[in-house]
Amino acid sequence: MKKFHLTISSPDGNIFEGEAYKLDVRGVEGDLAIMAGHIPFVTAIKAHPCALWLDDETKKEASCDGGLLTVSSEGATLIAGSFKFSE
Amino acid sequence: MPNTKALRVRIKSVKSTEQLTKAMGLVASSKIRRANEAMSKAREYKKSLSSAISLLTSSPDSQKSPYMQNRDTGRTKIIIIAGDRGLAGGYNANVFRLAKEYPEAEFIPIGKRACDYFSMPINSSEKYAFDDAMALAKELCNDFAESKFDRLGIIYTTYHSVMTQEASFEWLLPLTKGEDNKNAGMIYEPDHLTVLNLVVCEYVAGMITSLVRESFACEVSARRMAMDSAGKNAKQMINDLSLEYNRARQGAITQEITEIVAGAGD
Repeated sequence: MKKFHLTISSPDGNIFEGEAYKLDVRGVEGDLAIMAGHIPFVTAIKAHPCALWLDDETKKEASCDGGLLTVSSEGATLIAGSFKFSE
Repeated sequence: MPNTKALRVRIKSVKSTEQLTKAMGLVASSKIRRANEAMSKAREYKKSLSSAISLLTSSPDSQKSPYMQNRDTGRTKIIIIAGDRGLAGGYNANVFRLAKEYPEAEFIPIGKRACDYFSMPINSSEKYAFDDAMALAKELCNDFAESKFDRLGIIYTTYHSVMTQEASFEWLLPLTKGEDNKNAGMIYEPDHLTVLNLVVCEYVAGMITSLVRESFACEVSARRMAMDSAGKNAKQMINDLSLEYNRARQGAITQEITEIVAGAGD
């Protein structure tokens, strides 16, 4: 199972920084999932519940109020105004 | 001969000032750790945000964005971040001094002192949340896109250390062309310009939030330093006044004894 480096940044600091298996978010053009090896990509994301998969079984749900998602060869960065994992 | 009663009253008054400065210093100390943590988190966010904006503005397509248009008709808006309270050394005064360098600008104050200074509705810099910044950023970005003003700046205080803080100025809009060269092969969804225009509000709100948090860390540090030195001054003053009081008291006693001895001799 290939993983990628993910950073989730909000005004409350880096909410998550580490290896992830998959990230599900809602982009301006529709839902999308980021996995390892994704092409370099930039999109604005909408306020919507999203999910972070640490491996294919461990899923963490979160709420995000929109922001910017950048994917490069070094990893993915999600910059959001507010990002909170569900309890 | 100095009046001992007047000296006693002065010593009492300086002692109560010392207690007040001690209490304010303690309150500031307790807030420093939390304020510094919030500032470092906000700095991480600001760094990510700035590099993302640099990437987006580095492409030639981005020049078409309304947020990158340089107009120069002299209509400037400046967000000014000051403290909620005084007694913080030169913290508020330095910010207002810097504001005087832009006499033509329309100011948008954040922090009770700044609101008082510009006679605007009160808001608190300590409790300023991302949502407040977003509401302000949306309004400003819409007005900028509709050419209602030409430039947006921000006056804040940069934190160097507990001892050193400096009033600073930065332009937020129009955006300047980035120097990021990671654009090659990057796919933008739906397209470059739309993504840039969508995230500008987020960028402005993020910058405001992180600079408010940095300024608040400066405010509490400046207050602690100011209260420390005020406390030291009060202590010194109490020592000097006590010395003067004891001399006066001793002088009065000596005089009394001299008078009694002189009376007995007669």
